[in-house]
Amino acid sequence: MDKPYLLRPWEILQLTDRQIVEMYYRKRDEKGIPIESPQEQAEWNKRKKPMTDDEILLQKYLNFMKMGSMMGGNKAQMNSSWIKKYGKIPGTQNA
Amino acid sequence: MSDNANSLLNSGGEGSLTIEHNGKKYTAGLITQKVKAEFEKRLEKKALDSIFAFKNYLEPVEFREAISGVTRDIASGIYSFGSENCVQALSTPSGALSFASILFNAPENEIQDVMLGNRERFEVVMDLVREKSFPNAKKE
Repeated sequence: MDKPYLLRPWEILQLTDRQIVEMYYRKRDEKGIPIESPQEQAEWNKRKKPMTDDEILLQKYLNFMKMGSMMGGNKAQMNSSWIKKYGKIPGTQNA
Repeated sequence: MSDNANSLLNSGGEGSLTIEHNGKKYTAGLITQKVKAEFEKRLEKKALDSIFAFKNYLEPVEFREAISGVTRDIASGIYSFGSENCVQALSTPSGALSFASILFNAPENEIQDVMLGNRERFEVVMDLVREKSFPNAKKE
């Protein structure tokens, strides 16, 4: 059924979750053979939820705080640096 | 193995990302099943090591019970990648550093220097690694 993907365990070890999903969750024909796609990632790109500017900024803020805590940064200082650069914390009204 | 499958494997540095620091290049791999398993092993070892560190202070029965508790936890997936314990470990500096050292296949002290010396670049690389390694969110 998965004729193009006769992977051995040590080969599967080298795959990411994304690659596994793209290989095994693909649309198949009535015989179970994966349907060829001009782009391997086409299926997932179609499903990708578009992000708004606010969501992108919020994601950037969360990453910034995560990175800061990894470096041992103080939360108040991190917030203060963020406000200095971007004006406000995403999801709040304060300027 | 077919060429098609070969093209999906992380061979020849495909999908890798590089940071240059002090004249040396550090290339991040993707978060493969191997990387996840390696991090899980480190968490499991840390849990077992912490019990062995207290071995002299525990009664033999207590020691055995503590060890079997950890092995039960391992079997039930407490240390699996993506579990609550794993996420907590990744949010600590030592956990994040340990994970980064696996991703970059370099010693933790070197990776710490890379992180501190290239904060923004490091953040971008980690974002790209996550983006390339995990499936995108589905539309609801």
